[in-house]
Amino acid sequence: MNLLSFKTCSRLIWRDLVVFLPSFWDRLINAVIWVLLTIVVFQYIFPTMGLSAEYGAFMACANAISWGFFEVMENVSRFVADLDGEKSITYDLTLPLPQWMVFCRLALASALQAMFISVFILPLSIAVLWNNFPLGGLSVVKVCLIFLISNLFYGFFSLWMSSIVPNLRSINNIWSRVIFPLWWLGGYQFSWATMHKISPITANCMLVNPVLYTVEGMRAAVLGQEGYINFWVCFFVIFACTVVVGYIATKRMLKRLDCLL
Amino acid sequence: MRTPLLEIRGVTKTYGSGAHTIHALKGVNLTIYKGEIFSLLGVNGAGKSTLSSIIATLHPATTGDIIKDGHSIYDDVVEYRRTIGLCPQKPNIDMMLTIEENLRFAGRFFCMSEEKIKERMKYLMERFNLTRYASMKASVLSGGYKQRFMLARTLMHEPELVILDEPTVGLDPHVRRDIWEIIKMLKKENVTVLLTTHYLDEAEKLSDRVCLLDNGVIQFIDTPEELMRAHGGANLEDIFVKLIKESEAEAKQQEE
Repeated sequence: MNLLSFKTCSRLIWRDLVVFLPSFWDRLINAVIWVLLTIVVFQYIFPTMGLSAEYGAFMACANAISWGFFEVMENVSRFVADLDGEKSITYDLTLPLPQWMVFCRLALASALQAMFISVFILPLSIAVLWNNFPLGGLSVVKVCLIFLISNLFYGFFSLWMSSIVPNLRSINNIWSRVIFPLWWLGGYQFSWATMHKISPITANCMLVNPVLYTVEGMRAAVLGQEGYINFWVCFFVIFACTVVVGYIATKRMLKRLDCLL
Repeated sequence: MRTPLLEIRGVTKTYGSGAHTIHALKGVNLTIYKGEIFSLLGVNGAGKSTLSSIIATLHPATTGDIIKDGHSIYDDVVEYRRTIGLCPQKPNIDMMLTIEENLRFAGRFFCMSEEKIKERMKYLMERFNLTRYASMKASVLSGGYKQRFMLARTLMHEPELVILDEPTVGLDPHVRRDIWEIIKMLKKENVTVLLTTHYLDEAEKLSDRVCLLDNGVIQFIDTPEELMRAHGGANLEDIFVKLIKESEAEAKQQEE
């Protein structure tokens, strides 16, 4: 491995982004529809049923960080379909770079694609909610950090999912059995502190869910630290999860495709 | 005097474990010389594609080594990959990109200069009659043109060794002939070709030497002419059928 391997890797990522580009606008429109509808309902309908008047902003933070999770999962289907069919990955695996790098770049490209779409969600939400969006606790640096590390985690998580899905027919099982529980119990609609008040045992169980730290970290970065898990705890937990999941996913993919270790 | 390009030493490949163990290659030893067209023949499951994928470093060997210029290729796999080009049986093209984009990226992956990429692209597209399809998505190409494109992409970085895994399978006769001409041209340019094929006429017409693999074991390696002389067959197909039958009979005898 040398500098040229990194060059080849960066060019593979570049190619993945060129392939992604034609679907950019479609994906962005999908994201905008989702964001607009959810925050309008959460901000203007739900409070009339007794929820906090700032529930729209609360949900906007969750949307901004969760969207990437769903973006990368589309890549799982695409990658598993490729493994089932054309196996175009075999070309990448004969290029002049270590084979583990080929898989890491898949995760990085997925993360970048997720970022390109979800980067618009928070500004759009702020623009829509305007005065109803409290910006007093906002830390731009923290938002950038949690946004980057969370999407990177999603990228490697999608690689791990690809490594455990045996074929295209099993994709739906992953959605129902892994993705949905992680997202739904990852504090998307409620904070961890709220759950802790209701059921400390459930809240403690939720702490093993890495998605929880992405959502809590984003809320802490945008709405302020109070009422959420400490930002730096969230950041380092996601960082650790990215390293562990990345290592396991790469190992599994190398084994699955019978690659050089 | 012939100069060895690759020396394959005691290469084995085993899949699965326990009762489900499959020995795809059982200690293959052979030398591929610079500038020759070396064909791997064998029935389905003989181990041809396994061996070519190991030489292409797509998969590792279970045991054994491959030597190039006195060093194991596994000492620096990345550098070795710069000197080879694999054209697999199934087109593994990026269907979302145009022919031009696919070739450009192929050059960039090997860190070629933009000037060199442009020059090679022009040359290869003209040589493979791909110029009029340059701006089309790879997905619209017919089987024959996909194969031409795959060859062009394989040659983009001017590899020393080109590994062609069943390059003419499923193609029309005239397209097969075109591919044969391209392989012959490669030889003229002193490019070493490792050809895996089912078609014995193809091997006979193109190869300097052929290697028959049967059940993961080399049955023979020689020039087509020498084989026909030694085994008394009119063509390679006769010898192939004769040797496979002998091998099957031997295996049956051993089972009994």
